Amino acid sequence: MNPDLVVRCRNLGRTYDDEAIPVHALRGVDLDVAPGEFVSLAGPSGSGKSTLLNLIGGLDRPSSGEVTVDGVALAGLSEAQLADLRLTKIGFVFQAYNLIPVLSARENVEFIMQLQGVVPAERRERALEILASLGMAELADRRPGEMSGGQQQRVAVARAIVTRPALLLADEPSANLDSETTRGLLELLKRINQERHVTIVTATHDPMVMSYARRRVQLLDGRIASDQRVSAETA
Amino acid sequence: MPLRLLLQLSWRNLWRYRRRNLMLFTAILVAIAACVLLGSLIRGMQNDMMKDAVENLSGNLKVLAPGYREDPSIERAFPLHDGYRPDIPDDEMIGWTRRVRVPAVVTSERETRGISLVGIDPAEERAISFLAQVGVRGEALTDGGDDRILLGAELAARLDTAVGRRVVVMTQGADGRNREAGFRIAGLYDAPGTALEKSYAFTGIRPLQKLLGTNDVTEVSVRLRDDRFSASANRALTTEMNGLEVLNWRQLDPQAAAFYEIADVGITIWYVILLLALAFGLINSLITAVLERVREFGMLRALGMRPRVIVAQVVIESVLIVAFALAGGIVVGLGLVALFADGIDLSNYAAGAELAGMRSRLVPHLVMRDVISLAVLAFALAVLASAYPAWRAVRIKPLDALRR
Amino acid sequence: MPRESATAGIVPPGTRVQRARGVGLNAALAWRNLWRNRLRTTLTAGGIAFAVMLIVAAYSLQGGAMDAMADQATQLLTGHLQVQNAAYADDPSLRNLVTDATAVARALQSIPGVTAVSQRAMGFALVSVGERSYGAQVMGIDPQLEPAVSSLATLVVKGRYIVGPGDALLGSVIARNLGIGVGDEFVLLGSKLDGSVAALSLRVCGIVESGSAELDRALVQIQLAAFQEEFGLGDQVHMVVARVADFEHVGAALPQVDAAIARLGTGSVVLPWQRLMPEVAQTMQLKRASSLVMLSLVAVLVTFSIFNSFMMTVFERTREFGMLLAIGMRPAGIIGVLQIEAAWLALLGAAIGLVIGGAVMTATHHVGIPLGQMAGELARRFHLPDRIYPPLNTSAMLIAPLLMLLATQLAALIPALRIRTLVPVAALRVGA
Repeated sequence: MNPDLVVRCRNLGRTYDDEAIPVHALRGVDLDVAPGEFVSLAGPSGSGKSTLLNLIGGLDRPSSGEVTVDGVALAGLSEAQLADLRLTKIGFVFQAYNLIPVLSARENVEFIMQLQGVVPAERRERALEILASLGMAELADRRPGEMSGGQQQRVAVARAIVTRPALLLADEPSANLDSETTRGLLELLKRINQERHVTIVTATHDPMVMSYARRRVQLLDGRIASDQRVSAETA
Repeated sequence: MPLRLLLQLSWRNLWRYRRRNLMLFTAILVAIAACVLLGSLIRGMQNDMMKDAVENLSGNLKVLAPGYREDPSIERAFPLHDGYRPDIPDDEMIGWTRRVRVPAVVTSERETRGISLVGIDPAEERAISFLAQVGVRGEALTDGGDDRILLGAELAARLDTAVGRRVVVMTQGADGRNREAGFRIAGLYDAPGTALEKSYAFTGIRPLQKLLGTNDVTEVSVRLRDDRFSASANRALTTEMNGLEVLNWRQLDPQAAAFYEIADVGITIWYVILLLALAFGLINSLITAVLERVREFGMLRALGMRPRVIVAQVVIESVLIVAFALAGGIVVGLGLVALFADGIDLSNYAAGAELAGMRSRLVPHLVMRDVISLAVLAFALAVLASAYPAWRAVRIKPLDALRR
Repeated sequence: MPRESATAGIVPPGTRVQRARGVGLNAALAWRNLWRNRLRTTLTAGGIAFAVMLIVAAYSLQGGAMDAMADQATQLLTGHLQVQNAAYADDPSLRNLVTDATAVARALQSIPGVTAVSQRAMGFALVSVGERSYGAQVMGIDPQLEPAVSSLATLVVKGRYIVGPGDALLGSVIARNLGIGVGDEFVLLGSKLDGSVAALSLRVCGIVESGSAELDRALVQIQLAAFQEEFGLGDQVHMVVARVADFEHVGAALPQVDAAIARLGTGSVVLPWQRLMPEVAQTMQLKRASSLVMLSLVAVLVTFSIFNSFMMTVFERTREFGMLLAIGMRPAGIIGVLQIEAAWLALLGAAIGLVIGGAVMTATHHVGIPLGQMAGELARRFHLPDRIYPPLNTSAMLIAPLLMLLATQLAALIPALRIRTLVPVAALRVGA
């Protein structure tokens, strides 16, 4: 096993039994993600891309197979340990309802550091620093309701990476955004991927998101249909 | 929109948010049940007070000579012809009696006490006063000619005497001179929860009249089947007893009457307080129900539903939940009243309860009128609480449905 | 930095992350969350305020009325405590005497806090005017000392208080029954300690209206020395009555009094007012018990509405909780934030309740409550003054907020516990 891999999935299967007819969302997926990769999981609704992302993020447990994130096998972890793993190793960007509505941008970023036990002075400094570096210094004191959807997603990205996670997971990050805003967000993701070497895995059916990824994994009916790498130049 | 359809819609909506509505239902039910029980207890207390006041020799009505209350002496007695009977129909009156009541000093071998000595006709007395219910050690008086004396147990203890012994009674006769006579103690009565035991002694009315040298009586006491006959009976007595005072128990025992009236007010105050405590939760829940259905109300408006119907829907939901909780609460409350039918033991507070005009065992007494006024208050609460939420619901515009 | 190593994957599985200590942002987060639904928060806080207000008002009114009642009751005649012969309480007869009254009185006076001490002799006698005779409770008192323990001297409606050995103060009803007034003479007949006849000719110096029917009907007060001489008591009395500085401190003074009287070793006992007037003490207990039932009921009903409010809150924020769980917040952390929210809510409601309740009751304390005509009858029965000035009950102002804080914490915890079973993926999907 390659200890350097950020994500290692082996023979991953997930069946939902709670429906009348069992639904096989994933049927034996093998996927390795190396540090610094920008991967897009694509496919139509029901192809299993969200399920795969949730399994990698430790939000869901596989019916079969195993997931290792940053050298930690998720199978043996308790719910509490999974929460710790998500807190320290994984950053999340969801499609909506991403931020705590009553906290300002800075406070949203600070909040996750507070969960980690970072002292107030340091977390304030780091929050402002990351917002500034992502070009949102002037938004620091606004609350989510006072920001556009794109701005909210950028704050969500700031929150996701401020903890210096090994992996950034983004589930349909452009779902509620127009194309111009989406492009801005993707530029941001690309920048943190290249400059900060943050590994990114995103699940999307938005072609524009796919176009920014340097590796495109296509899922169909719970299986990997194709897995192409794109050179940095064409991306 | 027909009412039946509205009711049906509201009913289903109640079930849609059943968890929240169940809590609300429970809270209202608890409050209503508590109101029913507490109201009954207060009424029970009130009943005891009135009963005590009436049975403690007052009766519902009493005829006295003017001035007797200030100066209860045999000089203020009045004659009563042999065949006298109050002009009150039997279906309104339980019974009546004549009495001679005078202040006296009673002396045993060791002690002396001041008392009220009452000459009674035991047969008449038993129908109307507490004497029929109290326990007697020794013997009770047999008839109006019985020349023995019946003492309160506590009085006997103070006098350091016992059944079968003799006491000497000194009192003022009709001619203004002091009379003294020996009485043998027939028995001792126990009247716990009343102050009578310490200061009242009874003997036959005829021997007492003989001792006092008169054929007059000092009072006529009437016990009615219900206090509501008081006014008409009062008129009848006033007419036939020319020149005498006819007093009802409220006038005879103004303290008990004041207690009685305070209890009336107290019930209403508690009903209102408990229902107000509910109002906060009810309004809260109704508003949430409206806000959760902005989409739905907006859509209904878009489909052409009139604002009035929206209001009706919110109000009906509020009334429905209160109605069901009210019904449940009354059932539970009646159950609790039945459960406590034997009374709640207050003997730990006996002396205090006595001071407050209560007995040591508090028996709830359900009054339908209270339940009805409780229901009226509850429905008023339901409608008032739904006013603001209904207004909020009306303000929802068809477009809001799409925006959410 | 340890965090660097964590992200580098050196943290072995199962190692606990160092989590936030203290409240930090959570307090602000909770406070702001409260205002996401202004109306709901206002209404729920209003319920809490209602309960707090009611408790403060009820306890202030009740405490005021009760203190007034008990203090008034002790003022009339009983005093705060009495020293009696051990047998006197059960058998109040002439022979059950306090034999060393002077020593008892001196012992009582030496106890700090005791402000007044007076001795009394009591007995039953016949009072006669011409052919009329009534039974009377005759009380021998020291006219110098008695007014400090009994308010009877202030209730003289005609004539004056006792001065000399021939003076007698009569209850208004007994005087009326005897048909005599101030300046008239009457005869008092009783039996001495040795059984022989005691007879005393007295002159009415004053008529008293005590408000107590029993006293007005039977009381005759005369000078103690005259009583002792006529009834053959020597210098013995039936009771030594004492008042302490403050009604509330009777209990505190009691052990010292007990010890002092026990040291004298003459078989006298100390009875506090609660034993002397059990009906008053028990009425107070009964009222307390019944209002406790009522107020608990109100607290329970308000708690129901707090519970419902939090249930709605938790339900509405399911998605947000899903997100928080996903980014690694523990359920306990979210429950913690909700509990802080509940605490803020309780504090807010309590503050409103205290301000309104406190203001109303402070005003009431200054203005007073007239008991009116109807209540006037009761006032007499319970020895209440015509107008009461209930003081603000400070312990209720402390207990009511604490009670509601506790209730709110509990009411919030039950729906909050639902978060422990929340699956982040499912929660994120709610309402999407």
